[in-house]
Parts: sequence; structure tokens; C-alpha cells
Amino acid sequence: MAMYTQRSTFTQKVLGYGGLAVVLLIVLIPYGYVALTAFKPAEEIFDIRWFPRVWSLDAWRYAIEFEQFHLYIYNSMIAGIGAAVLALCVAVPGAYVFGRKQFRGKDVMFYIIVMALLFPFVLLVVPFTILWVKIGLYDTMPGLWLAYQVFIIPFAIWILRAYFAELPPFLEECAMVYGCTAFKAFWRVMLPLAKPIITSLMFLAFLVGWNDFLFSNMLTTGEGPRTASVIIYVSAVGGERVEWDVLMVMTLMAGIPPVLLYIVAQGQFLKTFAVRGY
Amino acid sequence: MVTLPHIRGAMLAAVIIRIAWNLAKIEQPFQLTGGGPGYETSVLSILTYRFAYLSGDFGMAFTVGLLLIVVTFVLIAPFLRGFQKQIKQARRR
Repeated sequence: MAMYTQRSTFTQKVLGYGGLAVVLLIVLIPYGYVALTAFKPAEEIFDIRWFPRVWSLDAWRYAIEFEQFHLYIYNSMIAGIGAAVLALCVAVPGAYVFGRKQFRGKDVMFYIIVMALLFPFVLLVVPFTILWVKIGLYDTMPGLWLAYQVFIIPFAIWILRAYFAELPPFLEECAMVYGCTAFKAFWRVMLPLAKPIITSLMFLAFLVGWNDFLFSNMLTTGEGPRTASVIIYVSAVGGERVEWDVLMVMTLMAGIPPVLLYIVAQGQFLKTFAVRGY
Repeated sequence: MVTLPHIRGAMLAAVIIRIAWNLAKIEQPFQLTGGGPGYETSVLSILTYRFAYLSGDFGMAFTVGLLLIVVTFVLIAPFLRGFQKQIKQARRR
């Protein structure tokens, strides 16, 4: 790859970096405005200027003390972690079987699972609500975890299957020659090999739980485990006036944890794509 | 001419998934406009939601939903065929 950069001329470099800068600005400007508005006092919100005249923490105080927003962040955290753990328990063994075992109807079953990705999820909301009320999962955290799996599982199985299928064949046989049972071969040999991609998938699953609005909104009530994204929506449309500064604070608070998590897990992501070589 | 054909499968997959997901997208239009003013910005998914939750007309809601499925599959069918071809080629190699 280093050869590429050496070969490009100065103009090409300028154009390349210029293009990247434009994209970066398009992405960063809204976030910058959110971050700065969060520190504006209430009377300055509609002033069209970047930096607030007076830096104030009123909005932060209001969001935490009055709206108790940190509790909903906690809810989001639980929803995301639960969704990720549940997804892995189902998707990893499932993907392993689809990737490395032969059985009848394998391709058909796999396509049905992947096709579920193309299904419009809005349609599921009503049946889910009815079903969840009937079996007592409505307005509970496990109910949310289970509902998120509709997005996560097909995607996770799809990606993990390709990964397992690409690992060298006969790995398990070797393990079994050394005295592993079939399950032990999966547990002690295949799982550690798949660790980087499992970490990335865990992060993606966590993001689904963290970001999801549709199910979190429909499957919970005001007293139940509402997640942060729902509260942001409620405070944006409810009430007679929108308090933009508080809204921006909430957006920031809800946006930062995944970014931190990404930075922490980033090394693992790089590994995911490095192992793909063979 | 070298890189693009290599990532063709991934590109097709991305296009297919994006089309399906954007057609069924509800969060952003719902939070921005709520489907209004009137029915101006009611995309099919919001129409489903409005029939189901605001008018309680589940029959209509699922009719719209079925229409959404049909529209989705009609729109992704050509890309799906390209994807299938890609897989077959990859197997032959």
C-alpha cells in the first residue's frame, strides 16, 4: 500500500486530502454544533453563532437533575449489553453450524435467515406488542433484548458464517485427533480463532440495542425500561416548547459511550480484517 | 478496473440491504415530521404505523405493510440476481 502513496503526484495528494476534508467537515459540523449548543445558556440558543457568549452548564444540570437522563443512559447500557450477549449465545453456534457442517436444507435455511434482513421491521411491531403482552414480556428488559434479535441475528449469522467457512478446513479434525470432543473442538479451537470478529459483532449488537428507537418506543411504557433514544424523542416532541439546549445535552450524553467503546475496541476491529488474509 | 470488480459482491450486498432498510425506515421521518403535514411525508412505514396505532385499523396497516414488502422485493430483485450471479462465479473459481 505504501507504494501507492509514493506514486501519486502532489496535485493528486491535494485533491485526495481536499476531498477527505470536505467529507470530514460534512460529518463533523453537525456534531460540533450539537456540542457547542449544549453549553449555551437558554437565551442564546437561537443566536446564529458558533461559540456561546457565556458558557453555561444549566442544560447539563437540567438534563441530569430534572430529567434524570443518566438513568436512561443506564437503561440503554443494559439493553445494549443484554442484546449483545443474547445475540452471541445464539448467533455464534448457529453460524458455526452453517459455516462448517453439512446437512440437508442448509442453503435454504440460511437464505431464509438472511432474507429476514430484508423484511420491513415496522410490520413486526404490532404482532410483537400483542405477543409480548400475552407472554408477559411487554415493558421488560428481557422483552427488549429478545426483540432486538430480529435485527441482530440474521446479520451476525451472515457475517460469522463467512468467517467460519474461510478458516482452514480440517481444523476440528486435528483438534479431535488430539483428543477433543466435537464440542471441545468448537469451544477451544474455533472460538478463540473467531474472537476478533466476535468482538466486532458484539459491538454492532450493542449499538443496535443502544440506538434502537422502534422497539424501545413501542414495547415499553413510561414506567418501564425506557432507553435514552426514546427519551430524546419524547422530549423533542412532547411539551409545549422544545428545550434545544437540553436536547443537545441528551444527544451528546447518548452519543459519547458508543464512541468511547469503539475507541477501546478498535484494535480488535483491525484484527478482524487482518486475519481475513487466507 | 481491478479493485471494483473484486468488491462487487460486497457492493451489491450493501445496495440490497440499504434499499430494503431505507424503504422500511421509520425512525428519522417519524421523529422529524411525524408523517405530516397531512400525509405529505408519510412513507409506507409511517402509514403502517399510523393505521395501526393512531386509527387502530390493523387490516389497513398490514395491507400497507404487505405492499411495502412487495415494493421492496420488486426493487431489490435486479440487484439480488446480480448477487446470485456473483456467488455462482465465485464458486466456479
